[in-house]
Amino acid sequence: MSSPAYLSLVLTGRNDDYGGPFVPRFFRVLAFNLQELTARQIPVEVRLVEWSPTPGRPLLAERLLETLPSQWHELVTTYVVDPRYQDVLSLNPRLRYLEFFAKNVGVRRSTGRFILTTNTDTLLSQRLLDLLAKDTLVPGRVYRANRIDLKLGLDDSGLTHTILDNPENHVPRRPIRPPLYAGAAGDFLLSDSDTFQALRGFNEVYRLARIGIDHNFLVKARSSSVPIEDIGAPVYHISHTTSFQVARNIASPDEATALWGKRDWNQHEVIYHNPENWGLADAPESPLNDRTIRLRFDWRAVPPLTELRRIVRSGATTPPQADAR
Amino acid sequence: MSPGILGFLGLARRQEVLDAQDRATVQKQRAAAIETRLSASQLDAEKWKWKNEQLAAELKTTAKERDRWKNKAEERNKLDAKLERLTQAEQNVTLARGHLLAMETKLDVIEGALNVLDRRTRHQDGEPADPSLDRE
Repeated sequence: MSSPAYLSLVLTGRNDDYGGPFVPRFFRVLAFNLQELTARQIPVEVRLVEWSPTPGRPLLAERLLETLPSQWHELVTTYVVDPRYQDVLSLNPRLRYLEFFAKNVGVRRSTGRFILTTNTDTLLSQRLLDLLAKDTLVPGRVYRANRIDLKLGLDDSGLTHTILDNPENHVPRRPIRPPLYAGAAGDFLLSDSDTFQALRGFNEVYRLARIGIDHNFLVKARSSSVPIEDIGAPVYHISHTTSFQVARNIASPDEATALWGKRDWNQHEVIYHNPENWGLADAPESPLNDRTIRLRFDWRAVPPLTELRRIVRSGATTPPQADAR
Repeated sequence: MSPGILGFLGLARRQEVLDAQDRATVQKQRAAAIETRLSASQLDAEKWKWKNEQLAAELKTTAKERDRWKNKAEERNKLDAKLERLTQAEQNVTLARGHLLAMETKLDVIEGALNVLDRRTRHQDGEPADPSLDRE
């Protein structure tokens, strides 16, 4: 598709067995979403960030190109991020995956008018797709969507809107509510490119947690007077054994730390001001093929271990000295 | 017969008597009317007196009410001032809490950074990479 993208989908993952058979689930979800978006003539691009690839396994990017129908190849760009970034950035060595740092890499490199940061197990509903096709999104806002969890064990090999829309396949969940419309925000955060740039993406200062970083983005948006809205149509989530809703009740403390990091941090009250080079802007890029780019390790791309002036209470405006060196 | 002779005999002409009777009747009627007006005036006076007493009582009650409201207004002013002080205190507490939570978050980051540096130092010296695992 040669026209500039209306929507950039930002996803992150790697070839591990996160939540069981991660790769086939991801490919099915991606194919479903791309099929539905392109069928509605919505110019779309996918920014997949393969964060800290698993050693000894083929790259997710390689497997994706092998599996994804060729007509969609040009829509997908994968950024393979050197594992040393995870090692040097994490302030919590047990936390295995800096998910939102990875998403920032994708957000920073998106070219779409609107950017949707979502997950590899999230399907766009029919109503949402129709709404996107109408081109009625307003810049300067953050859009949220209700997430409908599909029952654990539901066969996801032949998903259709009929199956997705069937209430018998749903797990009841509390709807999102103002002012933040929080709750599984990582599955659907949509805004225009300028707003994402102005907010400087997700929190890159508090690198001890994975859980709550999405919520913290909403707190940051609200503190920055960016309106948050319910887009008015849901997304569907394929439940798996590492879904927070499922695993929080069964994971051991060590597993929980590895998956989500510190859980009881002040995500509601404290916000951040990322450095100008957020999203590994200074990481050198080298193409692996025409659809895959490797982000090589370079200390210049790495923010300091601590920059305490970049942590501020919510509601406070960004201190003018925050960017001062 | 001349009137002088009738008068001398203590008599009057019939017409004179009739006239006198008429005048007496008119005077009687006037007296009765005056008496009625007097009664009405007395009644009016009673009524005004009663009204006056009632107004005096009302005035007394109103004065009491006025004093009561004055006191209430003073109390209200005092309460308003207290509320303002409380609101200010609440804002200060919220602000202080925000600063404390920001400090706590900064301490989290510092602790994380120290752990990372400790880990790297131990790693360089050939110690276990994650000493926290040994401690648990």
